[in-house]
Amino acid sequence: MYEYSEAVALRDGSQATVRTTSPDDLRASLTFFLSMPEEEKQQMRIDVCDEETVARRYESIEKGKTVRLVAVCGDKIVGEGSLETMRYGWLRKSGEVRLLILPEYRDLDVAKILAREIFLLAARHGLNNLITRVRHDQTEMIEIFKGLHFRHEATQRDQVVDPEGWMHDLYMFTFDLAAMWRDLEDAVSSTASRHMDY
Amino acid sequence: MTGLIKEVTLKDGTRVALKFLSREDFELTLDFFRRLPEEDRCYLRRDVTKREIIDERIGEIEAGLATGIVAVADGKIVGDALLFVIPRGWYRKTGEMRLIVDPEYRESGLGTALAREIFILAVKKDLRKLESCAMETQPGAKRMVGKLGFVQEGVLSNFVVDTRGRVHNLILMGMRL
Repeated sequence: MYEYSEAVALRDGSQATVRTTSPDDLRASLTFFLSMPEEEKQQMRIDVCDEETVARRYESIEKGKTVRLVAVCGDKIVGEGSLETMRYGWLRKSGEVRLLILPEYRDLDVAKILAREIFLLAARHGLNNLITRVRHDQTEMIEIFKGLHFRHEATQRDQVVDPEGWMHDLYMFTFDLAAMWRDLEDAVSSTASRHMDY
Repeated sequence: MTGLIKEVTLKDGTRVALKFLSREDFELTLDFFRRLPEEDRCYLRRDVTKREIIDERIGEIEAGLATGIVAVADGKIVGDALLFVIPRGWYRKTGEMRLIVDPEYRESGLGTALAREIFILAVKKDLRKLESCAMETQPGAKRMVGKLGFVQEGVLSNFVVDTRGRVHNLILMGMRL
């Protein structure tokens, strides 16, 4: 199982740790989810206030399908990011990203720090693409992913249901990792060839 | 026949039995997918010529995540349809339809007959949306679900990889119920 831990500085100079989660984080995870604004909790993919549901998320970590990272300040989880991958089949080169940040930490680069680690993980997995699915009214999440240069590629009408039974449109945002690596290689090659002239 | 839903008569008069897929159909399912032309198989979501993938697929049915319907003629499976639903969370009212028909039975009405049973199942499960996706290089698949009333909702560029390692765009199709 992948394990990672690193001390990072947030934009306001405060210290945080970004690390992989473990089942020991269950209580802190629940507290984190319960601290999210009520409206945002209603917009989420699963009922994050349900202990059994949150506990079930750790099963996919143990199966090696998902890597979950948390940003921790003191003993408080302030952000969570995950990368879910398929080992085989037509989605074997794509990974699904999810990010969730406490409102008071959204301007402190927590999303960028978690996303950077997820991008590196994706590179290690040899992925070509990242995708995230966001409900049309998850405006905060949409801003976070746009800020990370994800591209809105599809809108699925009335695709997901909220706790009260209303259907909502789902936006799919993608990030073309393969293109990013190609651009990077081109830039490196071009720099290298310029140096060869001397 | 266990799990028989009904018998249907195709356009050319052939009689085909539609039945719920269960573990007893394991070998017939494997045989069906292995008989498909390589050009069809390479576009499928998973490598269904492997026993462990068939086992996983039937396991999903047994776990209540999917319902499978197969078309049987002359003791062979000639069509396979799957309704996949995640029973928890925000996808619980959306089902994904996966459908494949033996090349010899295409344009015979079998695809429509299987899809009709999937629609009935979806309504019985109180689903509000059906989705289906295909690689852009599978125009036949897109045309077939289009005829059934699905509309294109988006294309994910360079998003899926076939069994030969070629990268394709993924077309997302949807239908509100």
